Amino acid sequence: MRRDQHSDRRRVRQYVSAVLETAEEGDDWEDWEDELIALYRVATDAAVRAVVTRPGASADEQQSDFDVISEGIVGDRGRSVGHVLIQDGTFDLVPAVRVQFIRRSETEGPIDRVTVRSAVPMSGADLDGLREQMQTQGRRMIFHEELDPTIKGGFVLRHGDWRRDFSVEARLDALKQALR
Amino acid sequence: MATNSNDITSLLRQRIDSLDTTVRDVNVGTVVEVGDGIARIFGLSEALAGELLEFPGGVVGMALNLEEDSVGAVLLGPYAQIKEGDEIRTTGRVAEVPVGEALLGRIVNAVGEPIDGRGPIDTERTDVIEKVAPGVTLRANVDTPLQTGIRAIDSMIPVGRGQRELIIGDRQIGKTAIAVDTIINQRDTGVKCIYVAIGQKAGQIASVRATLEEYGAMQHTVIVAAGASDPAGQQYIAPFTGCTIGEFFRDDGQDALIIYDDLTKHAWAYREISLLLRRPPGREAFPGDIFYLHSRLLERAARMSPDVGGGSLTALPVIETQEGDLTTYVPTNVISITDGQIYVEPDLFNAGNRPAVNVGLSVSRVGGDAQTQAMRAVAGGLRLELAQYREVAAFAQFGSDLDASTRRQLDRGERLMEILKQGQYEPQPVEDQVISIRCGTSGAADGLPIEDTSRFLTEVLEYMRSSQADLVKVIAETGKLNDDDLAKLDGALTSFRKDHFLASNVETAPDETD
Repeated sequence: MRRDQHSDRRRVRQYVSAVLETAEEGDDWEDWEDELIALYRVATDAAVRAVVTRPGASADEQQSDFDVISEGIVGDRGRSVGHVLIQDGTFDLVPAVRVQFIRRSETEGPIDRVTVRSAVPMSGADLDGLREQMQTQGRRMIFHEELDPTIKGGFVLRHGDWRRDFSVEARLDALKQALR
Repeated sequence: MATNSNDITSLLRQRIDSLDTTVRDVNVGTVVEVGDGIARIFGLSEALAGELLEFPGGVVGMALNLEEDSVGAVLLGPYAQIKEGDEIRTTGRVAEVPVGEALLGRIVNAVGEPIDGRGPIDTERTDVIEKVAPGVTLRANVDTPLQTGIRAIDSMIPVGRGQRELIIGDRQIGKTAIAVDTIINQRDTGVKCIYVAIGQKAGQIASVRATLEEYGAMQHTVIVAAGASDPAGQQYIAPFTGCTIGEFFRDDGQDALIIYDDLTKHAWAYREISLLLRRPPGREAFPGDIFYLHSRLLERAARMSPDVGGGSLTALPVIETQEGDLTTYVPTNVISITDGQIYVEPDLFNAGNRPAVNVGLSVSRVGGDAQTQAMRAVAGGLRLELAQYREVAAFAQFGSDLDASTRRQLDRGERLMEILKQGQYEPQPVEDQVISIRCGTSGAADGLPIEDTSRFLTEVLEYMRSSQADLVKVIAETGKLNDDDLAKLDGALTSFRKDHFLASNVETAPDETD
């Protein structure tokens, strides 16, 4: 199969369209996301990639190697995507598939990803309040919390490609700039 | 003291009160791949082409590829600590560098930071590195010479202020030497110089700096260095940085000269970036826009119209060829963009002709208008005489008997070739060049032993300065030589030859009875 940048893009689009349709049918967006992340971690490991895509091995042999390695790490959904890519000789496109799934599940699917980073764990009430404020009707929110003491206080909110910084560190930075 | 303390307190309070703590939305992305000076970032949906991106640790990158899901960025600093998953933010700014007189005498890197260990540079202004070249209405004709101080160039391949003249040739045969001599020759002319070193060894850059300092040329020069060990991104932007620094002087009504040493390595750096960004490769694996890369850079060299200050930026790009092959992709591109080329030839270099300029293959398309009248008067037939000499010399190699006229042509050509030889770091003022060239074209040096030509030139210049000071002054100040002055010059040269040079060198004197 002849491959170039354009054919790879087309293929990634096709794979992700298929995944999006399946996720929509099963209404299991969060599970797909988790499994694509697990698949991505396996596929970007240099040692795994060397074994799975070793020259001279048939696609069936590569698939069986992949099954052995990913056993217990990647679920059925992720492994089925891996099988398709191995059979097509495009296993190296896993990172692109993951990236495009994240993007298109937001633009074409009902997913909103929100990450809140705080210096200390936020209370349940605070998180619920945030979740309520961020929630848009008809959308499903995948909400992640992260602890980051370097921001000193407050929190940083990331929603898709946008970030709002309510941290103490950001204010100190602004003060530093003003006093410079 | 108390007053000072109160003042400071009030200033601090004022600044704290006026502090804008409004939280703004910032467009961000996540690194999905990093390596080889390139990062692929998922997100950054609002990034602009060429926009600066902020990476962790204060490292800056430039967005080059805007794709459907991701942005390909070139990193302009050390990227060892950047890893997958890092958050990147847009800055809303395009790349800018400091500009101004304070940069003179300094060495900066491709982002305009000082790297000469002499502390920060106190500049008040910054300017963007990517700018559109001045339009037609803002330009004026190239009509003022930029003297390189090199006889072979100023006499036959004259460079005008605002011109783009390519210096092309194989490695290690004197391309940089021509550039450095040209910078040295601008010492008392007011022309500001920018030397952009791209992909060179640090030792070479240090050597250029040491030479410029030794000859007192560093105080009117800025060195922009993106060495071989710097990321490809820095090598890519270095010429644009140098150009922006030069444009400050041009737009201020001053004259500036910029040397791009060299654009071959610049093209290699851009090819590396483009391939890593997975742009489709074309001829010799260069990307499709390699021509535009150099044309938009060199178009910024210009002579400005008096309405906008009348400044100029002259560009001397350098291209390194392989095995003298001028027909490869990048050399042909740059030859077609520039207003002429100075071709430095390995055979001439190996034969001891320094500078090894091949005047047959070299040309200046617009510099003729800028040449001084005095130089035009003495060097008008030089190119033709040298062409005839080369043709005759090729036949003379077979050793057949030659008639008197052919022997005369050979004799003249050999002396002209000797006269065009010039030591490195010895640029000559225009009046000395005019006298030296006239020694050859008037026949004043004919018949002298070849090995005496150099001494003849040295002594004739001393003689002219002492006995014909007025004439030398006229040439230096007006750049003109009317028929009377030309006759006076010829008379002085003949007189020097007969009464001084030959009289004191009787044993080597040719038979003058022919």
